[in-house]
Amino acid sequence: MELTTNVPNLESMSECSLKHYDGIYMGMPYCWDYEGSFSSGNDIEEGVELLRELGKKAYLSLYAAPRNKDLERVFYVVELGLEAKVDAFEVFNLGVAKKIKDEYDARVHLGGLANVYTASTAELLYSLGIDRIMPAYELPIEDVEKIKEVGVEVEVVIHGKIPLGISHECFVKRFEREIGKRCPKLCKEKLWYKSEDLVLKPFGQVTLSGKDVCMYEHLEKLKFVDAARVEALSERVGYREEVGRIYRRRIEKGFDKKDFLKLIELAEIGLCNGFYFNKAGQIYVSR
Amino acid sequence: MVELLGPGGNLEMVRKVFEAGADSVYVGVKGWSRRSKKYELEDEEIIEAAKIAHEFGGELRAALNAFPKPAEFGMFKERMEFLHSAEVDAVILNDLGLMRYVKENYPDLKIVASIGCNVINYEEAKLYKEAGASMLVADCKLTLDEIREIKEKAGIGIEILIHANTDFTYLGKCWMSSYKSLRYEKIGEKSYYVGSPNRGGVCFRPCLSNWCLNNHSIGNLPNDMFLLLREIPDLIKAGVDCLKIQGREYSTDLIYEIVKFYKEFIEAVESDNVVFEEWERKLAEIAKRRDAERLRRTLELMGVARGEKIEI
Repeated sequence: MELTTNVPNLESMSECSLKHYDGIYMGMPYCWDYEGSFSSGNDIEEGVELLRELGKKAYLSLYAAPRNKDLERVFYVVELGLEAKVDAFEVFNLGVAKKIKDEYDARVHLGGLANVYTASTAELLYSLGIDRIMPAYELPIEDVEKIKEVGVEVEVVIHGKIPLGISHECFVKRFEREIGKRCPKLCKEKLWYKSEDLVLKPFGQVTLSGKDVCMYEHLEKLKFVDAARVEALSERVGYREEVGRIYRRRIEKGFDKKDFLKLIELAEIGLCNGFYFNKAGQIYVSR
Repeated sequence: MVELLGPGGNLEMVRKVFEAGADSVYVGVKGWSRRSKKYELEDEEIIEAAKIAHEFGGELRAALNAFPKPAEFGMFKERMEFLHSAEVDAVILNDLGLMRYVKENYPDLKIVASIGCNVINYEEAKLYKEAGASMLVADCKLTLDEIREIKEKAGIGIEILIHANTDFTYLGKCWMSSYKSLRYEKIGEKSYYVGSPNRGGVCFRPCLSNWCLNNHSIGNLPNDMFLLLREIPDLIKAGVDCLKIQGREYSTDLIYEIVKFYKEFIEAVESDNVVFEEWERKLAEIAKRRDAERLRRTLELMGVARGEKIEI
């Protein structure tokens, strides 16, 4: 099982140790304006070189919600990625994915926002050359397994905040005055949407789960996947490294109560299982 | 003339929508569309709805635009066999793989890529066309120029919602409802996910609650209803193929009024005889009734998300 994570920019890459991971997704795909984001074409070559020195796979995440006007820029970033010899592109838009396969024949990993729910679509995409699929976040384990049976590589989120919606705009930008910070500093702040029993985290155009999806106790149930992701794009310094260390030990040495307690401590709003067990995403089920 | 498509939340609504002047009606196949079962049709009703549509010289579209579980592909094939024998004219689908299956096995059936596909650029539109779709429902956030470019570059028919909502997120790419609350049930071999529109359940509309951003009250997250009017002449000029009125869950009377209003408005536009202010006045009255019905429904759905026993 390949252990992966994501890093938005060069600055974040230098702030943490990536030694526990096998592959790194470079870029913040939920906003063009995020400072220094690889997804917007910044520092791609430097990022790839750094990862090569560390012996890691370098994947480049592309902008997640491209409208017509964004396509030219997206494919410009693809060309930068090809020049830097990235190992794969993470693509969230099916049209962009198809074009990359047709015109560049590069390796494509479909991200969770591409909404692959069924084996029939996974089969079609695999036949088009798509190499890896992160199934829709809403799928329970038995459905993810069916997608794996198609033959395509499968990656899932095992820890961190999952997207719960992507918008056409950054909604929190409307509240710059109230928060006292302007874009692009705004999303470096700790921001939370709260209503009744829900806490969510805005991050660019995406809204993330407030709770951290955690499959530490249940990792064996996902042993059929090819890659396991720690989602850490919006996290503070130290989170990515610590969670990576814990999951690396989990994969190699098994369950450790102390490590699990550390994950609970790191989750500011608490833990959940996402949708793996046919329950509401914010519920946590103990083993 | 541009096609006017109306909703069929029940058989009576199907007939009234045609009487009001619609060219076509869409209905949900029980257990398979992006709405609660209450507003979907049983098999016998679909057969009857197709007959009504053809009586009026119109078309019936059947929505199977919720994503089934991968293990339900056999059931999907059975549903398609039934719909074909029921002589529906088109199917509305969300899933690329299922589109390809329908294209290969029922080449006479028209395929519409649902709003839930969330097609936002022409490269995606090309892919859906390759998979079999001859028309796509454009996301409400797309501009007229974007729609024109998608149509031109992908060579695909475009359907536009003229009565609907623009949500906080792109439609089909929101999981806030099922993150908040989800009821999983299995009836026979079919799975139901109440709380997940993508999987055939209702959305509990959590965006319409009162929200805070840190300590600042921000009201609800954007979810705005709209009834287009002044935009319609430009949409027609841009070559939009179909104007769609959403609303299977509204009362039949209200939907009849809305469809009739738009039919008359389109005729006036096409005969170049429009005084917008008069039409806007009429539309404002319809909007008031629509808002009241929607609010009632939203409160029901929020109650269900909190665990209240309400039939939805």
